[in-house]
Amino acid sequence: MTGKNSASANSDTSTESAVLSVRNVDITYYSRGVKFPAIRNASFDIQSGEAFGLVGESGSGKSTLAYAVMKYLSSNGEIAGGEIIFRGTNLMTLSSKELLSLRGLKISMVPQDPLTSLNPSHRVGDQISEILKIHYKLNNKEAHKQAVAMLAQVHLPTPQLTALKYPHQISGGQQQRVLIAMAFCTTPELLIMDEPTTGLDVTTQAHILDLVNEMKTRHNTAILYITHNLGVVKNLCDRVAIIYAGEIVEEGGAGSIFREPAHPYTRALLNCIPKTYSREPETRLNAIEGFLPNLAELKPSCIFSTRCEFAQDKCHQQKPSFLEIGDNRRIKCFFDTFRNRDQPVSIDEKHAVTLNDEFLIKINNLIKLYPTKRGNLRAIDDISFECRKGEILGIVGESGCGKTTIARCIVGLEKKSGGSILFSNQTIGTIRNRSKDMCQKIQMVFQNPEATLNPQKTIEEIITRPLALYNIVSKSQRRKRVIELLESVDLNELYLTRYPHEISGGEKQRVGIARAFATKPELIILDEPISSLDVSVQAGILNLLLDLQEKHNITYIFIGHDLSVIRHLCNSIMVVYMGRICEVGPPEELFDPPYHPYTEALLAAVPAVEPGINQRKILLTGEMPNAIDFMPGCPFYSRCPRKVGKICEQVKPKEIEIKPGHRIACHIPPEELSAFEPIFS
Amino acid sequence: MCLKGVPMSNNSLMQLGLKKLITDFFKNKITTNLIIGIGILAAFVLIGIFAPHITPYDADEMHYEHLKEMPSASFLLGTDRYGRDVLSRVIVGTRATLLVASISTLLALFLGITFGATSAFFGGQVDNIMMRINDIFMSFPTLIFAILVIGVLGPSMINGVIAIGIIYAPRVTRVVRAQALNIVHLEYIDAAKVRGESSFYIIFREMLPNLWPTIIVEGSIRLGYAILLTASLGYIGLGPPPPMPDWGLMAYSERGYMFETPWPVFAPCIAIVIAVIGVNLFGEGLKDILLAKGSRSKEAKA
Amino acid sequence: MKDFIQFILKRLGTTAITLIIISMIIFGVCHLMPGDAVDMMLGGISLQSLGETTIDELRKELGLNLPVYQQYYNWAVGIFHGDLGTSYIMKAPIAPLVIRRLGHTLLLAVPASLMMIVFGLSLGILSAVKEKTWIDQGISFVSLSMLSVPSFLTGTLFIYIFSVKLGWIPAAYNILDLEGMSMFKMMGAYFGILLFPSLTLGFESIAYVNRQTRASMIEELKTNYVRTAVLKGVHPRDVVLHHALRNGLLPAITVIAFNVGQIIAGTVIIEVVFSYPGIGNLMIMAIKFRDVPLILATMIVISSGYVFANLVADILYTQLNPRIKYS
Repeated sequence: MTGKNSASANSDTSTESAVLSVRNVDITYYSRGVKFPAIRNASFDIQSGEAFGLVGESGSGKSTLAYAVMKYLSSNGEIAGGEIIFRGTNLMTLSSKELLSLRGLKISMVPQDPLTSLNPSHRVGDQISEILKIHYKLNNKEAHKQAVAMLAQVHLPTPQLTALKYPHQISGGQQQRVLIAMAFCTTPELLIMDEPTTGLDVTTQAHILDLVNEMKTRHNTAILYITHNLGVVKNLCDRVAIIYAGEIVEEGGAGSIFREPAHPYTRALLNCIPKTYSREPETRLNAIEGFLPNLAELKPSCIFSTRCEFAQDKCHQQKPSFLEIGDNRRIKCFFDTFRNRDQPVSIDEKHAVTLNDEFLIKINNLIKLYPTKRGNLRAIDDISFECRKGEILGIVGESGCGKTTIARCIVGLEKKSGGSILFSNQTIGTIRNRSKDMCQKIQMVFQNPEATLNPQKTIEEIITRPLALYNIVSKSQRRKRVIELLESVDLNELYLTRYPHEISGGEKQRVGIARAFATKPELIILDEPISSLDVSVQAGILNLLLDLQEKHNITYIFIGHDLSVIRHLCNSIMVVYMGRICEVGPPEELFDPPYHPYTEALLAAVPAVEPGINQRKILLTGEMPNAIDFMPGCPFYSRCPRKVGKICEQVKPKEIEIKPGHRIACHIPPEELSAFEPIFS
Repeated sequence: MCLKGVPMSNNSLMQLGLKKLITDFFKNKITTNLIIGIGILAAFVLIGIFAPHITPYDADEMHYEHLKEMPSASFLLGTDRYGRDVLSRVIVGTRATLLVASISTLLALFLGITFGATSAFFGGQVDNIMMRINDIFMSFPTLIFAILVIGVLGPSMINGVIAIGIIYAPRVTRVVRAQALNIVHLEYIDAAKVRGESSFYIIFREMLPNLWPTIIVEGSIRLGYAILLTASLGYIGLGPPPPMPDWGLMAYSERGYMFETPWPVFAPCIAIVIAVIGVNLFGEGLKDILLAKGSRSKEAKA
Repeated sequence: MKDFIQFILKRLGTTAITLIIISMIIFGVCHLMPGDAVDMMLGGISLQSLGETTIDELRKELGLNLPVYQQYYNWAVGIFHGDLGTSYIMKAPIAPLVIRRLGHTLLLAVPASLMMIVFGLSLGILSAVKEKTWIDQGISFVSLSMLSVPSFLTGTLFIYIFSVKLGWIPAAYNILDLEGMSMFKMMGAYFGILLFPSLTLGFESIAYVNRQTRASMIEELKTNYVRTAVLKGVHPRDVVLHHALRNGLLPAITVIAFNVGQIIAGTVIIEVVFSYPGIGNLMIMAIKFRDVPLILATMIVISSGYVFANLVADILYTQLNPRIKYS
């Protein structure tokens, strides 16, 4: 596992030696005269050289707390109580001038969205040298020299050249490295990182996390790491605090918490996440029922009581304080008896698909080109696969691999440049060229819940429209059918008159699913439908999707980038890289060797949450080739750690069938592939 | 595992299923801007409708004994060089200006919506060509084109409406297209396409309802400019021809006598200013409600 | 450098095409005029007394018997030779007249544009930084008022106060002998007299630029990169001037250019108000007298000014926006 240093063994949490000491901090927001206590009574310490993770879902207030440490709040917020002590100084007492000299020098921040966090009109190098000029009063030449040195430290290729570029000219991963360089160039004592790898590919994320670790050990910086990704926290942080609806509910050493989560919320969170590798039979994900409480109307009770499976009367009537449960851990609960309770287990039945079932959809030599000034961009480069009736096929890959383009070609939103798509033995093209019948049979669920529903229409109107368009039921029956569809996605009649902006992200996605099912399709394409949702909500949707599939025996093609989710959901997985298939196979086979070297790298990069498994680390080096240039060989050749030789660059690998239903496209012979050391053990 | 009853703020209007625009209207703070704006506009509309009946004198009647008089009890805003009551002429002049301005604005909106939304939806070459044509029309300075068209075709109300409508249409097209481009790649539009909806349906039943706020705000801005343009055209003699009282023309023709009485010049000007301020306040108020990011209710989280 | 020159040439090409199309439209519309110049010239003289042949000869002389596209071609070719035609009513070549008048107009337009840029930008930045304070409210209120007032009102008001009531400036500017003045007298004349039409001209535009700058600066101040700058420890003054302004200025450039065009077009009204001998006034007179060559010439000159202002804005915008320059 990635480096934990000895700080975790140090159980001394005295304020004097701590870099940062947050004590009983309350943060309040005012909106239209209503008071929202966004953070209540938060306390924690961070020692020098320690990576402290602050984990929570959206709406938990973790970002608010992080920015508050730098005393950065929006104009309608204020720190209503408590103290923030940095190296002995109470930040609440500082003047704005003193604060100015602290920011960027002793406390630095790496924000979330790298592209918008850099000034689009300033060169990248200048944005770093600016800090040096302000805090160290260096002249232009000297500052620039150090900025370039910093870019080299974060492993950016050609740092001299990169320093002269503008933010939009470099990739997301590189932008994030620049921000890290900016943060570390003054060797701050405390570094706050706000979800720095959200939005980055898994392989890029692995690099960034590795880099953070390297910088941490090198400069002995204390790190406050904000995230919602439990896997990342487990692999990076020494201590962790779990935050829910503005309150810290559990705090302790990372390893300990993940092995034995004590607070009901922590337990529930860990149970929501599909396991990456464990060999347990498929257990149903336990979604957390209920909703976040309304912060404006808080009652004196445990903040999690409305959703806790162990809640008792006391929990609804009194507020618990922290309970020390030994091993330097504490939880905000009255009881410590649930730690060792076994989780009730239920099995998720996936509809079994035999290899003899008929094909529903067959893709042959699909090609999609986008013309650009310099040539054709090959988004999809000769892909062939098939999907049987009732199968759940997962297409996994990183950004730019073409998976969304495949989905859009199948559904007809894009026009293919070559090859054919056969659906029930009929060739299909773009939507314009399809019969109404065909449109009805293939439907889609989209990625972004905020954009998937028309904001000007009620839920009833949205779901009625496909019914009306295809005359699925007669006019008088439509309302009834809409209610049935809503109930099938675990919503109800009350939602009919609501508008999209009045319901949550998870609910919007459910409506999107109901809408897709309304036409009684045979195939549903799901384009990363849960990627933008919180982990606890994801679990509910995944369960729903499996239930519906089982009930209607419908075929799914599920596009995603999270291997754990795909493993849980699908019975066949296709790994795609730069528009070509690397590997196709069932989940039982994919996670153990033999696998394609790219699959291996993906597996190594996924931050796994299960305790007790070892995960080998692989960092990919090398540049991604340009999708416009002519590429006769394997597209992975430039980064493949197991590259055979020139043959990889010049000859396209054939797909070898390892077992029926499991194919790998690689020049390495199957015997050698099976001999790879497994990633998971 | 049925998720029942969301803790929502109780709003009876919502349960009646009224259109979202109206409900937004009531949920948000109605600013004083908006109220004053609506007040002024309503006043003008009423004056315009009832004009001939509320004037103290006939607008064309010349009172030979009272030439170029300052305001008095009998002539509240004085008289002009022909002895006509200024107040009456200003009241009747409301019609010409407001009619031309509002109808031309509606024409511009209609053209702008059609071209803007269609161009954004189809994209590609269609969009390219339409925008190039649009750009050519936009290359004409507003005033010059209006002068050209009216100067050549002759001053009249209809020509005024057509000229101003055509001149403002490209600008509205740009605004509508910009907003439509924000929408056209959103997923609910893709969902409609996947459903097999026709282009007409998508543009007018899926996109347009989301464009109304932009359109209404732009319309109110355009109306302000239209009033100014109509008045300016009247000033240089290209408005509705005499004897119809026109605010702009009044300001021009009486200027030579300003040293005797400034009212025939400034009274219509003040009317113009009040009308435009009314429209602008109305527009600002609308913008606060319709386009503010805070116009959505707090979302339920889970 | 080569890219830049290629880019400029391409833009110039598009502009040229636009101007040609505009000139065609103007030409075409003018020929829709009921009756032609000959009728205008003859005025009240009865046709019978002159006889058909004389009228035809007159037409031929003026080239009015040729088909429209031929007339257009002749005229367009003439422009390239610097010949803008001959005015019907003045019976004199138009080019020198237009140039002289254009000079007078620029005397008003250039300072007006400078005022617009300076005041518009600075007030806009100030309002944005002091958002929601009384300074901001005050400036917004004044701006909104400036936008609600027709230019002829502002001009007329100036004349009323400073001419009729105070007698400081002449009521009509055509009596000024602008050519005969030395540089020094010109400057004196400017601040004493020409200030007023110039200010009137720039008035509306100042408000427009101010509002746009304010809006875009407010947007920029809310961005993530401004947050990064603040958290780096950059002084608030530098955050505004060095970080936000760089990006906030871009939309403002478009508006400024648009308004330079508006100023050029707006001279038409102002020159009528002040009876100023500029090109706008010339155009109005041409329309009243249906002097087609003069209408054409003045409209083309004014439209060209507008088009070029937009061209400059386009070039500035693409060169100053790194996202477009290095894409």
